[in-house]
Amino acid sequence: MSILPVIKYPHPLLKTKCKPVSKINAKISKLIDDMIETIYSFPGCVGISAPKVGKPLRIIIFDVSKHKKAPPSNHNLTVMVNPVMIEKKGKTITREGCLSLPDFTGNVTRAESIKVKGKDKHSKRIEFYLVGLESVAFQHELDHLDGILFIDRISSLKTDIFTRKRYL
Amino acid sequence: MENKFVLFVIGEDRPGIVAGISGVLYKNNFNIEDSSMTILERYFAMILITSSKVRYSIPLLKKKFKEVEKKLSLYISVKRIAPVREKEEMFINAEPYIITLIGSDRIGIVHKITNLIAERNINITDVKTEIIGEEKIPIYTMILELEIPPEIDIKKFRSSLFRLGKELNVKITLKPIDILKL
Repeated sequence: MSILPVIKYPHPLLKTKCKPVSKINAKISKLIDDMIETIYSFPGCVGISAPKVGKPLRIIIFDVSKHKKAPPSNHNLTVMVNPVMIEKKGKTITREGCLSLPDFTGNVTRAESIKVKGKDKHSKRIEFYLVGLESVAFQHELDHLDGILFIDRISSLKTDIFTRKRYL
Repeated sequence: MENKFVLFVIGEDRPGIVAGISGVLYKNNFNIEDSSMTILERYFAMILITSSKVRYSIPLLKKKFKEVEKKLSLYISVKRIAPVREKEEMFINAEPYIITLIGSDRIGIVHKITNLIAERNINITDVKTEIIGEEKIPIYTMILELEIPPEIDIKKFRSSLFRLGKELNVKITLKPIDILKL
């Protein structure tokens, strides 16, 4: 396994709609393992998507279990290939930061609870509910697969975006 | 070497202030590196950090703004600043926190709370204040963002803030800024 370099805005891949993974072969498995190693190499980081490491493929990984506000129902380390959001409910505001946009944090409104489906790293179909921070992490990473960054979801410059801080 | 200047501008609000100031900078090939602009009561205020490849003297720079300063009745001040320093050691492990304060307006709130913060060597990174409510009963609100170094005992700090809140008859809360790192 190896830690992959994370690409940063304005890299064009961050604005690209990523392609579905047709088959989880050895190459994809290696990419998934490397992404897992990469996510844990950043202290406090709870999510990563393939485009962030320069691969325009629909793969996301999240693990909010170490976060102090993690919902008790969280799924620990979760790999999702070709993830889809099939239901969403409620609203929650979270201050998000992104490895690909290092100098900003911003308040983003997202669905509080969602139902998602996709495949795990063994090509098995998975479907479950996510709430709170885990739901936010999923939606943030899913956005990356469609070329959307959290700053695209900011509604007010005055109250929602925080710059120049040394938070990340 | 780059020459950096900080520019302070304030004047009675009217259309064209930002365009006027940025016009002078643009014509003289200045880059705007950072800025903060807002309205304070009837006044529009700007703070800009600009840089230029040309080493202008302060009097010459001031002269370049003379026309727009007069035309828009502005007060403009320019100061040369040093290039950005490396992140200071004391802030590297600091955690971001937010303080909110709300209560009846009175003299001394800002000083007392910020003094309590400064005595503990805690750095303030952002402050917003606003007076809300009706004219007869003005309510003062304040939001401060801080970087709290690890050696600070949060429980003790919170109870000091609580005691100050009682003394000033305002409600003060302290909470960490949780950032979801993705």
